[in-house]
Amino acid sequence: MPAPVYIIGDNIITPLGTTTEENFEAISNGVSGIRMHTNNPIGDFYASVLDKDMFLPDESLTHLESLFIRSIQQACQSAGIDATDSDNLYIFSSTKGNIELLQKQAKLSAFLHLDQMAKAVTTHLRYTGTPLIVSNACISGVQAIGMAYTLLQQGKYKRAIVTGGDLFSFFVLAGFYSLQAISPFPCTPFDKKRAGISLGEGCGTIILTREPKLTSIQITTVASSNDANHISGPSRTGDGLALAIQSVLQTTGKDPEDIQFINAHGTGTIYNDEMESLAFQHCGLAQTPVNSLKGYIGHTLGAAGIIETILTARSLQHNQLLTSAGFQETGTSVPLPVITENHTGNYTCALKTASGFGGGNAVLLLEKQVSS
Amino acid sequence: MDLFVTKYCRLSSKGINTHKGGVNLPLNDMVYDPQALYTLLQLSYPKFFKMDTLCKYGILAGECLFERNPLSYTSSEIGIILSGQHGSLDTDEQFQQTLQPDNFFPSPALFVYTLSNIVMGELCIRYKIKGENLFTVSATPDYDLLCQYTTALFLQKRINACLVGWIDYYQRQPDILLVWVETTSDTNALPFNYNTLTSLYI
Repeated sequence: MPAPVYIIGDNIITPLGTTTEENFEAISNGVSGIRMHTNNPIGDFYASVLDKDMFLPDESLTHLESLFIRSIQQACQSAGIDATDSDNLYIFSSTKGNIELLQKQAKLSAFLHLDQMAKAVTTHLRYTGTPLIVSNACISGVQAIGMAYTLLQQGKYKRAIVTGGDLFSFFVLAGFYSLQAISPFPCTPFDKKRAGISLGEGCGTIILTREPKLTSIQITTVASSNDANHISGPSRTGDGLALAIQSVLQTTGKDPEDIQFINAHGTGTIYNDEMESLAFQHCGLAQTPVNSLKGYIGHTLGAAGIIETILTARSLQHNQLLTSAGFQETGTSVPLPVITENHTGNYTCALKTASGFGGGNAVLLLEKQVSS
Repeated sequence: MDLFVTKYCRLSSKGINTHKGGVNLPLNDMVYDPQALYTLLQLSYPKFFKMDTLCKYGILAGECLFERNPLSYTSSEIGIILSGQHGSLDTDEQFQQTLQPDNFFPSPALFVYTLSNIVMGELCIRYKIKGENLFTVSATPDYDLLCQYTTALFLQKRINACLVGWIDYYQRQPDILLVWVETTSDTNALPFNYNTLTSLYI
């Protein structure tokens, strides 16, 4: 089995705060960043949107690039590493990048291309290598961490700086609106009355290495799979997600009982949450406590997998489970023990899952350090 | 670990080439017309007509490569690792056209194609690929990375076969190289490495 990688630094920027600590604390206290907004012609909708003062006042950068820069700098600071170091491997995750430049015909339109966007960020940070970019719909963030895990095994890079970001855009809002998938109230994952997603925006950065710090959380293994069923609807049986979860369990020799909680994708759409409940049951995880954090920060697309992995790692570190905002009554055909109260205990092992358009699924196993 | 390219398809504005040789196109500019290629290749896959152009080209290249032969692996042991530059930008621009303030008719059928990795999803559906998958973006094909990453997945025993390649389409220009990577070689197999991919891409 490949060696684990360790989280040595991180950062989260959402409307709930500009550090991981601020975000974890707000969520522990049940604070949500989702608010009502109004748009013509769409009307009222709910989303978690950043204040304009969260972005750097630099006209040569787009808002998204400035978020990436801020998040990477803070994550590097928390890890005590130099962002410019040539031993760093940069991996970006984004679904739509600077998509709103499409409607502006702006001078920055070259940055519509994800490769130019990423390069603008690393150039600003004075890193001279070429950043890698994952764009794999809603599983991008988890996939980017998986890619870092896989590439770090080869010893070519000392550490990986994995950063994911997406902005709230009219493009994506209109798209989900056309699919009738925007919830008319703040999203309520796994709940009986759930009615769609709430979009979110933000950025998360996680720094991984094979050489741990004393208190590091480790990513023990990763897996991805594809439903090979439908490009925009999840599998009706959950078999695709189940494949990735089973692969993680088999690789690590874990039993379902070893998994103490799951941070699910939990978008709040009827079909996604139902699919996840079936997949968890299929893997013997129907009794495992589960949460979705999208009721606090919305669906942050390419950032989601990274932000949510960081918060799951903090849950392990602080021995504290986070509640799943918006959940009241079981709304999936397999009832799941959705976390509704802040629990404390000795937590050492958790799963992070993600599923998305294109049929992709990705899963990480996180543990409080178990080897040396 | 020795890995081999046992099949491939190169589809670009210059035409179509596979491990079996060049595909004869009756008209030079036929490569710009995915529908005409569909007819020429005698395909029968009605889903094709719902797809955006990037996905159509992806399926056409896949059909040239696999020639309707079922893949002799279990779905979950087959990986797919693809990369491109523009992703879905061509379709993004079309979807943006439906979002004008005085003409707001966003189409869900178009929106679901506005992601880079949908072409990978379509290939997974067509060829029953359920294993490890990844879509990356780069300015030009990074064959070194594709080889490195794919080889790592084989070494970590996470896949036993893999569809690997570069798949790009923007402003009428298709630019695709798909290769089928296995651990066993036949007489025509090529070593799976940077040099092979670079020479097939020309």
